[in-house]
Formats: sequence, structure tokens, C-alpha cells
Amino acid sequence: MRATTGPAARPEYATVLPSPMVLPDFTLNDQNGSTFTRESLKGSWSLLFFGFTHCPDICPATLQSLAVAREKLAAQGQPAATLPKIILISVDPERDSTAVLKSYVSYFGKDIIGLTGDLSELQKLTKPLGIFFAKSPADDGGYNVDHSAAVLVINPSAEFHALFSPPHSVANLLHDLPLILVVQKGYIDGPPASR
Amino acid sequence: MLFRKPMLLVWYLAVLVSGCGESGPPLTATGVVAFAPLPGRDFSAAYLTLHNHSQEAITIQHVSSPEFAKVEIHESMTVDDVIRMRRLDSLTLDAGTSAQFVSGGKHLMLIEPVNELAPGKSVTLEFEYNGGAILIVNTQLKTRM
Repeated sequence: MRATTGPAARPEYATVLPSPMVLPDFTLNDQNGSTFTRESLKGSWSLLFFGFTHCPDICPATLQSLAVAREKLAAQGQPAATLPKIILISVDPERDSTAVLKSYVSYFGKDIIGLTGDLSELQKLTKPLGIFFAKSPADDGGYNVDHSAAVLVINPSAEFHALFSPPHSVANLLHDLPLILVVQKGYIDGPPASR
Repeated sequence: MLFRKPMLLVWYLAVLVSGCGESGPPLTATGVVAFAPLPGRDFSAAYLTLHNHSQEAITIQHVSSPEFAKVEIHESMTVDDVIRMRRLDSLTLDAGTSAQFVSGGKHLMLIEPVNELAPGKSVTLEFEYNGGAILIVNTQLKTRM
């Protein structure tokens, strides 16, 4: 008599791309002023969120969820090598200098990365990924930025691997992330061996 | 229990201002969460649920706070995974309905603290409605992390 097993757990909230997409080349600066490129994403998993520091609602709430989820993943035994970096990429480079980003992202944890830079470099990354952002005039003469709210999962080969659509609850992230990271664990030590 | 004192105060003031007698306050608030501004930012957000207990529509015309230069009602909307935020001039609650202020939806934007505001600091939110009635809500600022 053969033992039967239930269906393997699958991500319920994230969309995993059938074939990961290689990220385009781009050059931005992190919150310390260091150059950050596609190469910088290699070697570890990353969660990318496109937002801005003048955003009062969704951006801090999303960073909070990502930071708490990462902390809980570590606490429940997720291997350190698969713990994702959390990266905020500013869609408001006009106001988000490296200094502004530094104080902002450090609030959410010492491992959070903030990226900013030239608009043209930002668009090199956002356009191929289908990330939208656009200024929207505010009543006080200032502006808001309408922007994509997705969280992108980037694998250790610097490929766009999966996508979370909002809302970004800690529970949803905790359900799916271990499944996604485990599936692609082979990338950490190099490509999976061919069969 | 947590809201006993603030709610009593809210009820008392609402009765005083609206003159609704013994029928209870027409407008109440529950689940109030207000965050302290993040480092380097001069704004923050607050969330709550407003309840219209009356038989008539209630329109929130203005929100203010002694601790902030301005308080605005904003609404974030997600359409095709794109977030757009807009200010609302007013908010109407139909008779017997509630309005939830949540992340990703309606929220209060607390703008320009009058003094430095750290987590734990008490703040007051004043909701002016129906031409002069006022709902007063007290809460303490929380930290996101």
C-alpha cells in the first residue's frame, strides 16, 4: 500500500513568475551614498517596494509589514541565508535625498535599504518591471506621488521572481515567503544541479 | 475598558454640543490609532472607526487637533495595483452607518506637529460635524515599530 501525501503547500497571495525575469541594469545610490546596481542584488533574496518618504499611509505601513514579517521569519527558523533584504526604492527622488532616506529607513530596522538617484536611472528599472509612478498635484501647491503598490520578490540571481499585490499583511507575507524562498533555495549556493 | 474614559468624555461633549438630550451621542469613535511622525517627517497618520448612531446623515466638515497645525481626511485608493491618495473636503456618514479609517483607505493625515511629538504623547482629535457639533477623541501616539 502506497503512502499518500497531501498537495504541496503553494503561495496563496504572491504571484510567482513562470520564468524569472532578469532585471535591467540600473545605477542608484543607497542611503549611505554608495552605488547600488543590479549586481548589488545578487547573492540574497530581496523584497523591493517602490514608495516615498512623504507618503503618510501605505509606504510606512508596507515597510512596517515587511520588517515585522522578516523579523518573524527569522524567529521561526527561516535560514539566515534566505532571509530577504528589504529595499525601499524612492519614486520621489526630487525630495528623497540619501540623507532623507537614511533617517527614514533606519527607523524600520538597521538592515533596511533605501535607494534614490536620477529619474532616468530609476526609470531604467521601473519601466521594464511595469512599475508606475507619477506626480499628482496636491491642494497646498505641493504634490503626492501615485505609485505601484506591489512588493517585488527578487531572487539571488537578481531576477524578478514573484510579486505581492496589496494589501501587504504580515500574515500573507508569512504564509508565502517561506514557500517561495525554499523553492529557490538552490540559488543561494549556485544554480540547482541539472537532473 | 480602555476607552471608558475617552468615550465618556466624547459622549459628554457630544451631548453638550449637539443637544441631543438623553438619546446618547450621535457620533462616536472606536479603535483610534495615531502614529507619531517618523524621523525627519512632519506628518503622520491616524486610523479609527466613526459610528453614526443617529437617524440622520452626519457630515464631518472639519477635523483639527491642538497638537497639529492641520488635520486632513485623505483617502488612498488602489486601482490596478496603483495607489492614489486624495484629500476629502468632507465625509458623510448615512444614518446608522460607520466609516472605517484604515491603512490603504480613508485615513487622517496629521500635519505639522506644533511641538515635537514622541510616541506616548497624548493628542486630541476634534471632529466638527453638522454645522458645529464636535466629537472629541483623545489618544496616545504609537510607534510603528
